[in-house]
Amino acid sequence: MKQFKGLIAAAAASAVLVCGALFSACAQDSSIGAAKAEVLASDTGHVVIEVTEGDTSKSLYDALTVFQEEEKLTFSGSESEYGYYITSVNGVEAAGDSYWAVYTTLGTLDGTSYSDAQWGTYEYEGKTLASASYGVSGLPLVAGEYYALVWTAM
Amino acid sequence: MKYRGAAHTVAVCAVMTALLIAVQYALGFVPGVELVTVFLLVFCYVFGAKCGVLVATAFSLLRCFLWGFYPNVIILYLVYFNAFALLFGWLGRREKPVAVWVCPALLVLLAAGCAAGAVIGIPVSVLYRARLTGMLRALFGVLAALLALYLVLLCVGGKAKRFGREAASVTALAALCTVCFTLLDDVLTPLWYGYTWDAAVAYFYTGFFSMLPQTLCTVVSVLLLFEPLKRIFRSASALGKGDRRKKIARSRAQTPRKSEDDGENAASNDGRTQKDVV
Repeated sequence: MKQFKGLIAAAAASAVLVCGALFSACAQDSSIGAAKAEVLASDTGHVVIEVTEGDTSKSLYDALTVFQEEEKLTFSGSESEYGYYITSVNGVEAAGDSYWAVYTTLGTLDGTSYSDAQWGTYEYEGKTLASASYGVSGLPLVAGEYYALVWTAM
Repeated sequence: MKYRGAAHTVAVCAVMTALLIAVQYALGFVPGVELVTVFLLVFCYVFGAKCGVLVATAFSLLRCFLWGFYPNVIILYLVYFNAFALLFGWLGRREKPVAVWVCPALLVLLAAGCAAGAVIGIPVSVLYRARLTGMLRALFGVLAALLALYLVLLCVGGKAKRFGREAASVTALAALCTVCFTLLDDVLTPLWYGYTWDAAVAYFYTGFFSMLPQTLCTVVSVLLLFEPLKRIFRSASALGKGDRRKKIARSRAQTPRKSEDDGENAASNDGRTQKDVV
């Protein structure tokens, strides 16, 4: 009987460990400072990110860097006086007649406008993201907001 | 004579246009650093508004082959650089120096703008605010230093006062022009593309990222390079005028004098007067 109880305890402990491992594997959230974000979609045409916990001292660029280290996406670009300029995402280069547009659901925060629908919108699963007023290094990570990089032909 | 003058003007303007495009291209990869302002400024100052307008127009159009043909940028460059050429061409040809109060007034105005921006805060992305405030403080410091230098030069007197006052006044005007360049862009681009008011305001605020480093660069480069570049351009200008001066001297030498024993303009043994020799 004692042996049977020990067997049940060992099986239960194993089950807890396996479930824990499976749960952590399923969780998509990545930590960027105090913020947490998740890659909802990532292919050669677009990348969509949702921020689950915010940290306004971290930018979308910081999130992309973490996702690249975790091999969830790849990107490259160059620094400019307006911040980081993305030229390639997931191996797709922005040529002369195309570019990687940045969209976000983040509107106005502390009196600063971060996007404007006048410059274009992007629909993703019922959410409307407006064209960003800043590049990836100027967009803070705000909880509940969506961010997207979309390959766009001119 | 007329043909030679025109040829010299065209050659000088062509070389200057090429130089401006080369300077802009070479430093295009360094954010916030530009030397086009100081080169065009000194060129207009030495060669005058006519040559300056020619170069400004040629530069505004030819640079598009490298950076692309964007109508709003072409209009901006044509309007701004031609006005710039007229201002500094006129300043260079003025007999008297810029009024004493102009430089301090401009510097106080610009420094007050920087201080106000740093204290009140410019509504840009929260991630950029610290950098922008730092740039405003740096520009304020440089403008305050320039004002102090100007006031010291006023007290010193002599050659340093003359050269320093001229350089400081031109620097202050160049800084104001650089600010005006971005402000003009803030009006032209939203108008051209039909931005909404909110979009235009956002465009205005993001314009500070280019305006502040460019103004800082203008102040430093004009203050340091104005005098040496002026000497270089003046020597280039004198090369073209050399032939003309010789011809004038020769024609004067061949012209019969009213009185050969005139004390002031005494003839030399080959028919030239003292003034012609000089």
